[in-house]
Formats: sequence, C-alpha cells, structure tokens
Amino acid sequence: MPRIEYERQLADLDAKVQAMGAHVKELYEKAYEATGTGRLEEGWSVDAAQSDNAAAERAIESLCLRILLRQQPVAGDLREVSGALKMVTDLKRVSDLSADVCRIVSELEGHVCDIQRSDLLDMGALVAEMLDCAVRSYLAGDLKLAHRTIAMDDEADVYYEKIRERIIQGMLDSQTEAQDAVNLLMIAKYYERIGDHAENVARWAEYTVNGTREDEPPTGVGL
Amino acid sequence: MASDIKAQVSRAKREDKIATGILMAIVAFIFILLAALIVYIIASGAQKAFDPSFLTGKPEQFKEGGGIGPELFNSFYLLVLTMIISVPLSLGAAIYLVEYAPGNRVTHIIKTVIEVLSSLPSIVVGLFGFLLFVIYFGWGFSIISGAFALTIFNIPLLVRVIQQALESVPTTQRDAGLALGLTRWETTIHILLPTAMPAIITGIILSAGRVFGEAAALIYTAGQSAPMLDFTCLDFSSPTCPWNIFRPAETLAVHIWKINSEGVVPDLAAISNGTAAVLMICVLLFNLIARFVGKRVGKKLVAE
Amino acid sequence: MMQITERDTRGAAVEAEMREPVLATHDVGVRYDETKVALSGVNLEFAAGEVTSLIGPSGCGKSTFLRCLNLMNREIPHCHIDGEIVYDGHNINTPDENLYELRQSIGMVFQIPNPFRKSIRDNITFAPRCHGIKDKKRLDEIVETSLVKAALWDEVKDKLDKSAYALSGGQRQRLCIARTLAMNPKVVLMDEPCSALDPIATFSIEDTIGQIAGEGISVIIVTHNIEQAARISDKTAYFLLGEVVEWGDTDAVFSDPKDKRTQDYLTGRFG
Repeated sequence: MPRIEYERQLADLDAKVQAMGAHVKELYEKAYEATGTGRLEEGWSVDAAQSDNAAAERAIESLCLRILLRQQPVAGDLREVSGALKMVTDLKRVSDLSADVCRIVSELEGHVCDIQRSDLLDMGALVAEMLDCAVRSYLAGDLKLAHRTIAMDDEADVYYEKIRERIIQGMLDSQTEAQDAVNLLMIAKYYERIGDHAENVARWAEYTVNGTREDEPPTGVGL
Repeated sequence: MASDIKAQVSRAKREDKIATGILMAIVAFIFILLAALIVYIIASGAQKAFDPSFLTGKPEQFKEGGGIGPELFNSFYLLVLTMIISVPLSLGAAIYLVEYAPGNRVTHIIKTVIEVLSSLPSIVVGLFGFLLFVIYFGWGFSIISGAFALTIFNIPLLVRVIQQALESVPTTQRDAGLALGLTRWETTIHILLPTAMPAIITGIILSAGRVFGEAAALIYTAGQSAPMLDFTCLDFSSPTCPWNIFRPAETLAVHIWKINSEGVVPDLAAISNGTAAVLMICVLLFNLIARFVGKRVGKKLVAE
Repeated sequence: MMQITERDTRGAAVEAEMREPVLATHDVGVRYDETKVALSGVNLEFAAGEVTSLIGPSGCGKSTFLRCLNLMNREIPHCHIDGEIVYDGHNINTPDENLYELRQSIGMVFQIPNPFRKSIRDNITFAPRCHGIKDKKRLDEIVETSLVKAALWDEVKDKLDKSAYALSGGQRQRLCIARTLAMNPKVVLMDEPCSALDPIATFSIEDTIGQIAGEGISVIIVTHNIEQAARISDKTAYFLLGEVVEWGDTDAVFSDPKDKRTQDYLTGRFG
C-alpha cells in the first residue's frame, strides 16, 4: 500500500484520540463518583489528570497540523484530521469541567443534600452515557450513536432546569445555604456543559463521516 | 462572411487533394520504376541465376556456357576482408568522435572530412587505391589492394552510421553508467554499444550490400581477372589458392562491367543478366537479413 | 501559537547518529566558461538517515548543485566547481579524487527512469560486476537486498530475467534506485525522480525514499513539487538565483519561513 508514512500518521492520530477519549472519560467518572460520595479518592490528583489531558490535546493538535502541512490530506482524510483537530478542543473542555466538578465537590465537603444529590447523580449518569456514546460514535464513525447523543442533550437540559428550580426553591425555603446553593448550581451547570461538549463531539463524528454538520450554527456551546 | 470561409475551406480541401494526388503519383512512379527494374533484372537472369553449374562453373573466355564460380567466391571473400578491416576502424573512430572528442574545431573538421569522403566518387577511390596499394606498396592487382580500397570507400559511411547509432542512445544511459562509478570506457562498451548494436548491425549489413555491388573502386585494385581457384590448395602464396590475398580477384560487379565492355563470349548477354540477377538477389538478401538481425539483436539485448 | 514539535518517527538507532553530517559543502560554487556563475556560496550539511529537499524555481542551481555532490559536473566541459565538498572527512573537490570510487558511495537517480536495456537482474548486477564482484551467490544476494530496500522485490521477484523495459514507469524508477543501492551508497542523490511519473507511482517512490532513509542513507532530492518536499523531507533548502536563501528543518521552513522570498515561493506568490 502506498504512502506508508501517511498511513502510519493517520493510525497514530486515531490511537491518540482514542487514548485521550478514554482518559477524559476516566476523569469524568472520578468527578461523577465524587458527586456521589462527596469526596475525592485518596491519593489521586485532579491536577495531574487534567494536565495529562491538556498535554494529550496539544499532542493531537500538533500531529493534526503536521499531517495537514506534510501530507496535504484531502476528502475523508481531510475531514478526519480537521474533525479531530476540532473535537479534541471539546474533549479538553470536558476534562477541564470534570476537574472543576472534582474541585467543587471537595470544597463542599459533603454538604450536598440528598434530594439534589440524587438529581445530580441521575443527570451525571445521563451525561456519562452521552460522553461514552459521543466518543464511541466518533471513533467508530457511527452515525446512529451520534444521533442518539445529540438527542440526549435535550434530556440533559431538562434535568438542569429541574435541578436549578429545586436549588432556588431550597434557597427560598432556607434549607440550603447560599454558598452551597451556588456550588451545587455550578456542578449542575458543568454537567450540562459537559453534555453540550459531548453533543459537539457527536457533531464532529457526523462531520467526519458525511462531511456536514446537521445543525445550525451551534448555539449554547460553551455558554 | 460565412460564404467566404466556406469557399476558403473548399479551396483548401481541393488543394490538399491535388497535393496528395501529385505526391502519390510521384511515389507510384518511383515504385513502379524500381519494381520494374528489379523484376526485369531477376526475370532476365533467373534462368542462369538458379542454375548451379552457372553459380559454380568457371568463366569461359571464348565459348558459351561459362560460369561465375570464382567471381561469386571473390565477391564474398573481398566483402569479408573489407569488413574485417573497416568495421573495427570505423567503430573506433565513431566511438572517439561521439564519446571522447572535445567539442572543438579539430573535431568539427574531422567530421566534415568524413562527410566529404563519403560522397567521393568510387572511381576516384579506385584510382587512389591503384596508386597507393597497387603501385606504391607494390601489392599489385590483388584482393588486399581491393579490400583496402573498399575500406576507404566504406569507412566514411560506416563511421556515420555508427556515430548516429551512438548519438541516438539517450544521454540518460550515459549518465546512469557514470553515476554508478563506471569509467567512460566501461560505460561505452557495456551500455552504449549494446544499446546501439541493433542500429550498428543494420548499418554494417546495409553497407555490406553497397560494398558487395561496388565495381569502380575494384577495377584498378583487385583487378579484372579471375584465375581458376583450387579449393584444395593450401599454399597461401599460390595464385590458385582461394585464400591467397595477393592474387587478383574479379568480383561479380566487375565481371558484369568487363564482359559488357570487352567480352567476346557468344552468350554474353545471358551471362551478364545472370550475374546481375545473382548480384541483385545477394543485395536483396543483405537488406532482409539486416532487418531481421537488427530486430532480433534488439529484442535479445532488451531481454524481451 | 501551536507548535509542530513531533519528529518523524524513524528507527531510534538512526536517530542517534543523525546529527553527524556525512556530506557537507563549504562555499560551493559552479562556473561555466570561467565567467558564467551558475551557483555560489552554498553551505549545506547532510546527515545520515535524513532526507533533504532542494526546492526553488527552475534554473536556480538546484540540479547543478546536486551534480556537484558526486562530481558529475566534471563530465561537462568548461564547468568548474569551486569550494570544498567534504565527504567522509575529506574534501572531494580535488583533481586527484577517485571519481569512480566516490560515485559508488554517492549514488544518483535521474529525472527520467533510465534502466539499462538489460534484464532486471542485470540492471542491478551490472555495476557490481564491473567493480569486480563475480561470485554468483553474492550477486544474487545483492539483487535481492537491493530490490527489497527499494520496495520492488515483491513485484519483480518472479521475473528477474525479464527486460527492465517491461516494467511500469514507477517500477523502472525504483529499479534505478535499487541499482544505486546495490553499490551500498552512503548518500543517494535524486534529481526530480518523480516528475515523469503519475501520482500513484510518485507515492510509491516517496515510500521507497522513506525506507532507504530508514536504512541510514542520506537522501538529497531536487523537486519542483513543494508538497512532495513537505511530505518526505526532514530538511529543506530553498535555492534562488544560484544561492541558498533558506535552509532548515522542513517543519520550520514550511510553517515559519525566516526569509520573505521563501514565504513568497512556498505560498505561490513568487515573482
């Protein structure tokens, strides 16, 4: 097969994206666990995980640029490379948001009241599924999975609205302290935004497969 | 406007047709002329040319039924000798001129001289050979004098042919050899010559046809007499030994000239026709062989 | 600003000895007829296992420079090479340099594929035989290893005695590369080796180039195809009007050229 070096670089890109996807998911799961238990796993560093993902993002970016500069990819290859270049930004944001969730949870020191915790966990589970579907749809070029991810984002938004109302209600009822309320709201907001980025990843999967993104200019992304 | 163009086109077409017609007529005329000549010569000589006793018999001075055996042998022997002398010389000269000679004035003059020499009338070559080989070197009317005269006659043509064959080898082949660390000599011998070989062989055989039919250069060098040859004789100094290069040797072409100018045999016309036919057939064969061998060698060298 | 940092991932062993140049030029220039200057003041270095592209507009001395490196210019009358060409630790631009030995270790591949009018096998064994290798087994070995290195073995192993002219253009060019590799060169010079080939054949040659560079051979290639230079080379030198305007890592030259003229040429805003 011709273009050995090029094929190797593309395979390398694929492997790197896959590895980064797995690491980002891992960080998200830590954040999700922490939301449930109210504290971070002993001996595990948020900062390290976050900066690993940031390094992975930079590596993928430079590989993409290198391929664009050196190999002049066209057609499907061009979409694959440019898609990867865009989607790693979303993955990186997921990584950062998950890390922030971890930090807020450790700040809360268990002050998450039961009602909101179960709501948050439901929402977190949904977002976890979105993230999983999004990354898998991207790696496999699976349009069905991508569409499912995109559809789930509306559910995530509904969850967020519900949690927000409850928190406001809790504050009005003076059940929740203002600081906790703000932190809880931020966790919910972060989950919602992780969902948005997952949706974006799914849209890049779509673009990589058929060259179009079936949405209007993405609104609400990174709000 | 449109009719103008139409008229122009139809005029151009008409002119094209007329030109094509004229050219075809010229070609047809030449072809018919040559074909008629060949057919006439072969037809009028066929009876003799395919008669073994004519081909092997000895010529008669005064009565009919003479053959052309010695002449036929002499023609081939002289041809082989001429080629043995002229091919290596021409090859060397051509290789030098194409591969080694600096592109200066002297080289240019040499090339011009060779071109001039190739259009020298053969009777002039013959008279020069007579003075130099026959008289000055004292070789007399002999095969060797004839062979050298024919060599002078043949070299310019052969050098040109080999030169062209070598020049037509792409420069890239030369570069390839040199870039592999081969010397110029190795490159020439192992790459250029084999590549040019089909063209060189074709050229050699075609020039052989010309040499074979040459008469004027031989009349005063190889002589006009054909002593009877004794093929069992191995005494190389005996005039009847066929291999003796210092004996006079009349060739087919000279034979035709001689019997037509001073022959007294009664069947003069038949012998002359027969000899001409044999000569013609030989030259035709040379041409066919040249094509065949050229193609075969070409195929063999490119390992197809 | 994002940086393209990752190096080509070739063998680590090759990587280690990469920095030491096998071939270097100091102030190399070329004059015709004493007065016409075709090239001047070229200072470049070529390391083992590295691919260097020489790019630039036509008639700017790239090929002339390439032909200095194996002293092919010596074959052209009235052509003078100035300066030092250091190969294997000594200056080869001297009158008593052994051209024939030199050209075995610095091979050359030309623009138009020019295999000899011989069989595939003879094309490769021809030069080694001229240089004194007669052993049949040894020659067969050379044929196989050279063809494998040139990535042609699988395609021709069953028809080694067929004519080289039975091959396609790309295969012929790889045969020419194999023929050069048979001499075990340290440097291979290529003068627009793909310009007579179609895109697929071009890619196959590029793969071969990558492969032989992986063997530790320094490849120097003249190309008019900027994209090709980007694809295959580690270093790029830009020639303009007989001088080197810019020389450096390909990534750097292509993503951030230091000279305005390089920028103009690469982006097609030349002249």
